[in-house]
Amino acid sequence: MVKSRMAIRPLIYVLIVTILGGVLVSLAEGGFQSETALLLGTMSVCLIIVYTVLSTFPLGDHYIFLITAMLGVIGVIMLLRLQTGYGQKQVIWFSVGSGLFLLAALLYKNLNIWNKMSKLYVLLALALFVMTAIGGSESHGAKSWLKFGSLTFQPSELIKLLFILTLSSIYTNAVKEPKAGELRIRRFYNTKTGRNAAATAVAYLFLIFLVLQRDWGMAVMFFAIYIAYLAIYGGEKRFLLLNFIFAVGGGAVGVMTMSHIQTRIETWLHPFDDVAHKGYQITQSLFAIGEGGFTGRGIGAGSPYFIPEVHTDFIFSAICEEMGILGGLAVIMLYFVLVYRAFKIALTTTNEFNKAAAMGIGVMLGMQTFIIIGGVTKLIPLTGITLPFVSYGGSSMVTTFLTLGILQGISARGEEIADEI
Amino acid sequence: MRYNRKIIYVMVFICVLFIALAVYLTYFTLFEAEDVIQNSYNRRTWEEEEYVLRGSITDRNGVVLAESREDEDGGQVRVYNYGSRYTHVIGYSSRTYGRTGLELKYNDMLLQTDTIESISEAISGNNEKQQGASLRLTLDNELTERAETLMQGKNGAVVAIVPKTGEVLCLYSNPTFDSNEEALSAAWGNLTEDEDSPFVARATNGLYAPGSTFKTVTAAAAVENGYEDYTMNDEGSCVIDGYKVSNYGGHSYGELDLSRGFAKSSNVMFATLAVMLGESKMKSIVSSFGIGAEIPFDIGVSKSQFNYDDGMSETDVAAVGIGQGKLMVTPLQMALVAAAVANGGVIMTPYLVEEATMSSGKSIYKAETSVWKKAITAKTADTIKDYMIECVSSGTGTGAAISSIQVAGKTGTAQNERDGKEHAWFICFAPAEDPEIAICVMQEYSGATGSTCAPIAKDLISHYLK
Repeated sequence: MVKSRMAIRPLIYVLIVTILGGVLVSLAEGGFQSETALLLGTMSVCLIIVYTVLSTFPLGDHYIFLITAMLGVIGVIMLLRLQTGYGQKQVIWFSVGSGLFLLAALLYKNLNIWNKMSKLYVLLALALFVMTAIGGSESHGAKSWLKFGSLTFQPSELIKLLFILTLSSIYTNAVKEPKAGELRIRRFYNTKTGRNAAATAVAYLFLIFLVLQRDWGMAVMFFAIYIAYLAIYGGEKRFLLLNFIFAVGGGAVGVMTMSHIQTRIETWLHPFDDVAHKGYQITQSLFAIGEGGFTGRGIGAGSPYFIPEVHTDFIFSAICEEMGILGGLAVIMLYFVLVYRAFKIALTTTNEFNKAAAMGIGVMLGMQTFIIIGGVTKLIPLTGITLPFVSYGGSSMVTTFLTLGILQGISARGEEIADEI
Repeated sequence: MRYNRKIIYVMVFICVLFIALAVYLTYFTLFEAEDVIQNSYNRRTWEEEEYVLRGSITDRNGVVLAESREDEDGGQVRVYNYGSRYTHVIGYSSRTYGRTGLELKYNDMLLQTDTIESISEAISGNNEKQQGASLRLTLDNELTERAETLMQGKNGAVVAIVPKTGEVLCLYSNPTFDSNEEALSAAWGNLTEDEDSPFVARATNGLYAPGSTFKTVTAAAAVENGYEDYTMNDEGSCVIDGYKVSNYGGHSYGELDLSRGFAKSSNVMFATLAVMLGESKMKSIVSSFGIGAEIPFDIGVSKSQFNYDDGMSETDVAAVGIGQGKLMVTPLQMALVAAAVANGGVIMTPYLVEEATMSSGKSIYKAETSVWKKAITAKTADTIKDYMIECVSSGTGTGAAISSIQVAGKTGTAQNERDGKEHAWFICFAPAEDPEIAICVMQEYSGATGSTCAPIAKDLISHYLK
């Protein structure tokens, strides 16, 4: 068990960044701010506790939480700099999220029921979708939020996780020898084509809800996750081909018939044609990134508040303005390592369901990072989704922590088995 | 483990996406950011003007050309005291229409304040705006005013340079437009649709065939290559490789030496000479004068064009010899040709901004003179100078002759892509014995000849040297 005993040392780097960031934010605000100090102190204590727990109960991978901690700290520093109130809530969510992360890791490690509940996952997801469709509130053109009093919650963040678990169960449980007297539908489900059909049905059902919500970024991500499963586990080229035809055809129809899709493409290709209106968001983001240059204008020295939605979708542009694209590239590298950890766990773990789930989590994190960073930098058309752990927002923080908790649990199980061998 | 291979493929795909992000972000910062952030919708470029009053811009004698005044709402207005006179040099600084010219290039300096002073003001609780640094230009307002008057109703440009230093005394392009904010917003619609393209700064961005003024360059090549004593019998036209070259107006000048041929502007002589010199010597003289090279300057300049990368035929060489063909130059470029001859063959780097001074009196920028090109030898320059003197005293340029000052010059009338309408040119410098000013006057599509530009130059010279 020597290898599970983690030294506290790597976390010290994260804490140094926290302190430096706090000093810079304080300087930018004109002196020592007790609230900033208190919030970053809370954050640091939370990091130390979670990390100590991870080391005491050997729970697998060392890096997942370290990377998450660094991303979380960068996000909190940026949010504190934008508005102390944002930073305050973010610290609370980070603390709650990291608690859930531990809980999820422990539960996942110790219970062995996760591959047996695909129907429950789908039902829960559908319930959430229906609730959003009926009682959801609209924000920036997407009707994808649920309100509970003062709390708002984006169900699709959680559905993302349910979707990964569903697809993992479908693809790793189904192949069984047909039994005598079994229903035909059951027998069909147990064939290769059957499980592809099941996965496709679930995926398209979810996609329809997302398109109805006009949550395009999320729709693209669900589609990418589904395609990854199909490519790895489907084993049938015709499903990939059909999806390709559907994506191209559906895309073409969407572009031709829906004016807001046309607008999105238009502002992506020619954002400077209508800077004042349609191209406003993306051009403000590009101005911020451009002004930042390689080394940035310095924390507190830029003007990220010119960008609409800077604290959520456009936090990456604010990071680039004040920490430079070197800071931005560092953030990209952190996600890259996180995605790599997910895939490494997928490759080393022996349990097929866990392997599939870890892979799905890797694809999810990778795609989400690419879609939002690519969007705000104008590499691809902009679709608003959050930058996990960095963007301001509770539902993204909490559900992404849950997702990573599962990844942590998978790595812990993998390790245990390895130890037994 | 049977799916591991495919999982690795998916991982590689996601790696590619991440690499694309990193590469694109770096590319954007290296190659696109600089242009993007200058967009007038980038509010960061206006942020500083909330605290800093934009510095003023004066001519070489301290005459204020542009200044900023605070308005009642704590904002500021940019005032251009001479309306349209400097639009193509100073440009404008407008929240609606962005920034151009020196206002754009020297934006940082115009908003630069003394750090120590700013801090002490902040401590003392002074909320008044700080004054940005002011620019003193090399331009001469009186001379430019004269140029403005003389060019009234004519499309073209006037460029005047001090040959010894490269200081630009006058850089005037017509048509122009009033650069004050109110005037801009009133006229913007018309300006953008105007067929005369008032946005094109003729002096620095207009590209025209130089016509006979280019014989100065051809003559320099001839003298440098030992054709100084060349004589010929000019019969009014000649045939080169099947193409007929004729003199302007069909004149035949008979027995000519180089000096006389230059003064009379014989196309026959210079086309023949160019062919004798050949492609490589013509190409080399063109590049010695910096034609086709980027002129380092305080505002944007179009590169003069010499589009013969694929080699030249004999007719091409002949055409270039008399300033036609695929040869296009800016008036600034031709002023530099005159300045080269005036300054012993050396072209000084032209410049507009003499110095920048902060409100405290501290200088933050001082122009330094430098050599741009050594075009020709001093000896050749002296010979060409004599030709140019003869051109003004008894050739096509007599319109520029002044009794008390010796003027050296060359006329030009250039055919162009539009039928019938020719560009008229005159390049000159004075006083010939110790040149203080080199001038290029150009009227586009005027149908006039070079000799109609000469009196404009004459007026400017006598005005400047009085």
